[in-house]
Amino acid sequence: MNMKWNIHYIRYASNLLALSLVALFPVMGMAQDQSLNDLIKIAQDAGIEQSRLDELQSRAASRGIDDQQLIQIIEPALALAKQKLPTEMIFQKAMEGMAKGISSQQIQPVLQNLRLGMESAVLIVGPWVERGDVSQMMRQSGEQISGRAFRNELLKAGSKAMSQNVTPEALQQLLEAIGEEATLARSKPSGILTAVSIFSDLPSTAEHPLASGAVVARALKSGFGAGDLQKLPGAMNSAQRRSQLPSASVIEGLSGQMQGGTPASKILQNLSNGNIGGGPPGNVPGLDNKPDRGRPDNR
Amino acid sequence: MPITGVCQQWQGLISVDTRAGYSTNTILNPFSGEWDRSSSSGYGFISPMGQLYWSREKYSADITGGGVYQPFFDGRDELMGGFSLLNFRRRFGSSWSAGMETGSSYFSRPFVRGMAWFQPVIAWSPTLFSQIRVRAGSTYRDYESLQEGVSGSDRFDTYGIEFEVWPTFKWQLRAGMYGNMDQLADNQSFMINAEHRFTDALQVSARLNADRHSYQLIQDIEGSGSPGPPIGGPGSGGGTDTEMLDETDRLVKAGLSGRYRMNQSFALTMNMDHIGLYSSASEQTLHDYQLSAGVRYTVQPKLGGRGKAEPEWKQNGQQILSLKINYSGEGQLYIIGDFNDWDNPGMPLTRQSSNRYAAQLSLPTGAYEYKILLIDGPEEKWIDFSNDTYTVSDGFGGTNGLVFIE
Repeated sequence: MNMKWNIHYIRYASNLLALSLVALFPVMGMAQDQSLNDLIKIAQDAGIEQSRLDELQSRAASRGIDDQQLIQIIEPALALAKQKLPTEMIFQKAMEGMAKGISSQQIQPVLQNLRLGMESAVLIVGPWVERGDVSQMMRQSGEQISGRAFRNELLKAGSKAMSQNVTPEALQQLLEAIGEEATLARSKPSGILTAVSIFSDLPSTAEHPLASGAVVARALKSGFGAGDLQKLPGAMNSAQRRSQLPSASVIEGLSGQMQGGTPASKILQNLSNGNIGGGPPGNVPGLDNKPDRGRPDNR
Repeated sequence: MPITGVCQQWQGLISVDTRAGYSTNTILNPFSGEWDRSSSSGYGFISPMGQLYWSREKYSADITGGGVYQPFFDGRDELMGGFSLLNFRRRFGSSWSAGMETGSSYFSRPFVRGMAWFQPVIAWSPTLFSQIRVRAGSTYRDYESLQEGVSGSDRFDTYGIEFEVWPTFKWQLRAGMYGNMDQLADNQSFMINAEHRFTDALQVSARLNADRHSYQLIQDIEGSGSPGPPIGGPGSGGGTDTEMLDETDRLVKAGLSGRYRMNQSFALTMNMDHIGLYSSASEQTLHDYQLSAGVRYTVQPKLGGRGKAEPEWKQNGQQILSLKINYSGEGQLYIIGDFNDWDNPGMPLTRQSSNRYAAQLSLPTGAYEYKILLIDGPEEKWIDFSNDTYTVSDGFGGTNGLVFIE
């Protein structure tokens, strides 16, 4: 009940936020018309480092981006900073867009999308990171990452997932599955970050988000490290392509291999070869015709 | 958009199989399939093979071609030949598929034999871990025995029903029944195969085949017939003062194979086979065997990746990363990404060989998006990643590479 209420609240808050943005946009535009310097001062007061703003201004100038356009680029970061949320992802995406020669008109909606994703993700990721068992996992992992850095990276991964059409329910379910005692006990921060980061890239997530979340959590529980997990989307794509089976079958086969205790490296190899269930015959057409099998019919 | 949206794919495989062994009957050679126990001899064997696999949506096909060269140490003519296979299939839903398997082969010495076959196939997977295949088709054969001076052409209409199951992820069990459609009751063959993977590198398989061949032996009234089984042979000749005898040959073949993969390219192989013939015509029991061991070399060439970058990330110690890029082309390569605020042109990659570039980065734990930039004179160009690279949408309609630092 509580989780459902949370999800409804998140949806309601996201919608309200989007409507507010649309409604306030002209007013904000008027404010932006007044002065870039005023906005930069507000951004500094909100906690954004001067050096980041200077860097962005310098890049914008070298790309011929005028003050009004720069104001629109800074605004999503300012909105996040006011909510004490990480702004680094916005700055990096803006600089990436400039490096690639993308126009400011195209950069701005991408940044807004990231901002909305971050604002939605924090409602799910924030409480999860503060759980006692998650903090304990952080302490025991031995990895050199601070709690704050872990939260920011997880927010970044969560917001990226949500900006790629992962629903709040799916992200919530994924984190709850990862947070189960047996899974958390075998997980490390880098593995969890990778699990959330790859979630939206799995070929099955769009159609079967809950099952995909469960399989990612099971992967962590089965001992998949960050290095193994980052190969999972490519391996699952390859498995689906070569076997030509529906994504639900790929998930089922992958879960079966994990349950069977197959090592992560072997599972990834199986998937890359199209062996959904570990090696049923029809899934790797042609490889039966190895020389030592001879021709199909010598009877 | 998730990662690479490839809907059409080519994959290739090249292998060279080399062996040395000892055999007492050429029927135990999978490429010969001819009954000849005239001499026992050691032999060498080399078989290069190439395979292309293609898939697009619900369709897939594979093309295989190879050659065989098998010299015998007792001075017999060497066995030489080649084979080709073309299999095509379409998947109907998650459980059913249907297609056509075709192929041809040509081998010579001490016989000359050309064959071609086509077999429509239907496959049903009741679960992800089991499959039933039914195939039926025709094989055309043109045969000439250089030693016996017999020759002829014929056609076999055959069927096969196979069942395969993986009870665990280490066991593969297969069973099959085969026969001639025009002699359903006379010629039947049964196969059972069990394969166990002890480790990722070592797998061992045991197999058992039981064949029954009924035939009519044309025999001189005062003489006796030959006990040779009809496998692979063109059939018996005729006579004048003869009588017809109904006879049955029963063959039981047992084998054990092992393969140990030393690395991505090389594997050691071992084969042991025994065959027993129980012939009602001669009331004899014959035993033959074969032993062989060798090395198999396998390589999977990259197809369609020319001009694309394929990064290999390696984490040394806690946070130092080595990056190697496989790329062939002119100009200077740079890596640019989240780690340097996308500051053009980024970190230069040093050229290690004609198509290999490298860099070393020091990064804290996290996920980093990156691109490879090529600067060639006044021109700047983003290099596409290979299909094997983990890429994500950049939100601007392109893709970035993504790497996770533990």
